[in-house]
Order: sequence, then C-alpha cells, then structure tokens
Amino acid sequence: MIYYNKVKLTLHLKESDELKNLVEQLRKQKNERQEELANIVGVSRQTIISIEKGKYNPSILLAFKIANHFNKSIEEVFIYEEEE
Amino acid sequence: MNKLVKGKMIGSIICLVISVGIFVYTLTFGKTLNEELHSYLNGFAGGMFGVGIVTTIISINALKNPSKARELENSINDERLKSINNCAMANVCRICIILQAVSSVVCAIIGKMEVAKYLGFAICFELIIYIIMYSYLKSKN
Repeated sequence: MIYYNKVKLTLHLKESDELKNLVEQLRKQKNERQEELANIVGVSRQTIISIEKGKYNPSILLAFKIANHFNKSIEEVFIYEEEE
Repeated sequence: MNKLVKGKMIGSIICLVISVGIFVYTLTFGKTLNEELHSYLNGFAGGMFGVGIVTTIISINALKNPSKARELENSINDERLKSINNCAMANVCRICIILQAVSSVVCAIIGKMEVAKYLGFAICFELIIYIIMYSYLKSKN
C-alpha cells in the first residue's frame, strides 16, 4: 500500500491546499538510496529528505527531473489536491 | 575538473594571494603605518587568509575525490539551499535596516546628531539600492 506524503505549500497555494508526492515510495521500489537520487537529479541529500518528508516543495524543473528519473509523468509523482 | 569546483578553487587562491599581499605590505611598510591601520589591515588579512585556507582545503578534497566533487557541486547548485540562503540574507537585511533606524533615532535622542545623520543616510542609500534591484529583477523575470 502506498502512503502519500502531505506537503503544506507556503508560497503558492492556500493553507488548505496540499501537494502530495510518491518520491520515497518510488525510490524504495527502485532500491535506491537518497544519496543516489540526489546525485542523479543534482541536489543535496538533505533536499531529497525534505521533499520526501513534505517539508520542501521542489521547483517545477526539479519535479520534472525526479519524475523523468522514475519514468513517470510529473502528475504521477506529485499530486496536487485542492480542498473545497 | 568541474567548472564550479574550478571557480571555487580560483576564488580561494585569489583570497589567499590578496591576504598574503596585505601581510607582506604590513610587514614591509608597517613602520610607516599608524598602529590602528596596521592592526586593521592585519585583522582583515587574517580573516581573508582563514576563508582562503578553508575553501582551498574543500576544493582540494573535491579534486582528489570525485564523489566529494559531486557533493560540492550539488551543494552549490542545490535549489533548496539557494532559496534558504536568499531567505536568510533577506531577513538579515531587514533586521539590519531596522537596527540602523532604531540606532539612528537613539543617537538623535542622546545628541549624537552626526552618527544619526550617517545612519539615516545609510538607510536611504540601502533602500534606493533595494528599489533599483527590485525594478531590475522585476523587469528580468
């Protein structure tokens, strides 16, 4: 079963809106370490940790890089949910 | 060798050369300088030398070890660290301007009008630079 990480956006979205991501799950499926993913997409390991924990929302460019690495579309990795 | 690591290495070497140059200058012409300027230059050179040594060691480690080089490159390019750095710098600027404004008022109250005027001038200058920078970045983005 896949659990989504909850991400609170502080700049671009309302407090009630959420961006979830499957980075941790997809990385574990690929048997990759955080450090390896960080090197592939060109960021630090701490950034990957923050993205997985939902503390940091990546830029659209980094989100595309991560999605491309997992051979998924950006919507399959990062899911935006607007609360009504 | 990566361009970024190379750039860091060149920067640290320039830092070291300038600091050594200042040390040599103070040793050669130390007698002609007044004591305050002498210690000021030595302190300045000491700080630069320290920064130069640390960044040179980091760069040499990165050159010897490709994984370290990659780590360094990632830490320089990391968008999260860049945004944190920008945010920290912006907050420091805000705090500095507020402190200057408060200090200026305090100086004016205690009768040190010269210092108060200089601080006021510095605040105006900083805000003018801010407006110019803001307009420039706004036009670029």
